Amino acid sequence: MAGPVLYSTNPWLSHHISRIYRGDSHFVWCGEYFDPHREAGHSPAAMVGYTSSPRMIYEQLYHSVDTEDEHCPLIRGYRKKFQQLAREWLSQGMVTPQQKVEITSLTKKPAWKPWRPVLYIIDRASVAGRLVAVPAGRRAAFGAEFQILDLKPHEFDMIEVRPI
Amino acid sequence: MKIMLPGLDHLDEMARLGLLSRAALALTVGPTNPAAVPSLENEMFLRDRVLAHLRATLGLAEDDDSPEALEKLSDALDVEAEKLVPDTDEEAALRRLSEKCLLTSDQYDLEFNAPLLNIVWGKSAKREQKLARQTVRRPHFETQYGPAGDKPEPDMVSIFARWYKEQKQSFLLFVDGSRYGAVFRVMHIWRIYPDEVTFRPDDGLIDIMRAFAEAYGVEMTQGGVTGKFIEYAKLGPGEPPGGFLPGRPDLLKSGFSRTHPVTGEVELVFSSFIDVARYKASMTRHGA
Repeated sequence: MAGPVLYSTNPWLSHHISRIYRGDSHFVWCGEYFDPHREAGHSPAAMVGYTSSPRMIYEQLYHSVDTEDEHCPLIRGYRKKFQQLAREWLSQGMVTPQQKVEITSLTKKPAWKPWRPVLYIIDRASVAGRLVAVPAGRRAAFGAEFQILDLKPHEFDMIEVRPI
Repeated sequence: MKIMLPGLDHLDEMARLGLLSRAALALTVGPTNPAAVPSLENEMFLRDRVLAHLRATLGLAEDDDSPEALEKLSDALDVEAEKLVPDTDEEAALRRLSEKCLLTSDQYDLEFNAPLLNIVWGKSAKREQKLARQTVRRPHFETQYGPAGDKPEPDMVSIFARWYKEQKQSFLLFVDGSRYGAVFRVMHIWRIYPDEVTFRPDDGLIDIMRAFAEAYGVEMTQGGVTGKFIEYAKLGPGEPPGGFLPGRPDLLKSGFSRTHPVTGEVELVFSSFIDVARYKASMTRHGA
């Protein structure tokens, strides 16, 4: 059963960039279950797509960082996304040209620690009014997924664990 | 490949940059991501025209939405967008990030002060450098300092430590050095065995540095401050900040010095003089 918290897995660099360049305002995708596929087969959790499971994302990132997997599609995707976001923020005047190139440099420098996973445990009550349900066509599967555009530091706890 | 994008001439550079970036984001993370949502008048029309032009230029069919095709399109958009970015000096960016202590330890390029490390480690220096590399990449403890300014702190210094297990006894590898942009130049590598250096589990790196100096250092007076470990001192005129104390080639200075950019005074931080012979004897006893 869905509880009072929401879960979101992100690379540490996402948190770093949001904290430094976005005024500690975090955009996240999140779900009601950490490990939806451990829930009963008839529960709503079982309908969450495998690639949207916070646990699956966490484990994939963790093992890719641990084994320094150069071909990890998740990390390649994040790297590309942050570079595109930096350009978009520059175009909107949200970052300076110097900040844009700093973000790009952070993503380009060969390293693994920036991509290690962190798990956000989000207080659902404090974001209830700002929870955006992702439309069916944009979800990994039928199960519910949410976005929060402006998650604030006091609304979540961030933890790093070894995969179970 | 040079690609001329049609229909964007009426937009200024930042508007074009935004359009191309949002188009690329729509392909990478999906059109519902808030950062991919159009913000210009007729943006979807312009976006479709740009994509159609890119598809034709790249030889992609109109209905080819395979992951490979979408990646080629987003790569091409990225290339075109990056041409509109006014500042691309990544070296300067890395220097700023280093000064603000915003790089992760594995983002530094490592260099070693070989002559200094050879004094302590001799033919084992390569082995210790390998351990130091691992320590910097995946430290258990780390402290980074930016520009000191007027603060009594080290200037652009990083300190890392990591525990290593050995059959007989574990040791803490302690690595310190100075940062120059994204380069971290290792100055000292010390193995610290807890049977000879006394510190508590919750001690910080500076406490451990002090305990190390208490174990292997000699009492000195520097800048009017006396002790085995001098946290901060300003040197008097003529006092040497060098690596060895004149007349005592058996003592190696550990710590950091800098010349204050305004006053010109030489300042020492975390300074100690280590009795190298005593330390080497300890390493031999520990089988290092």
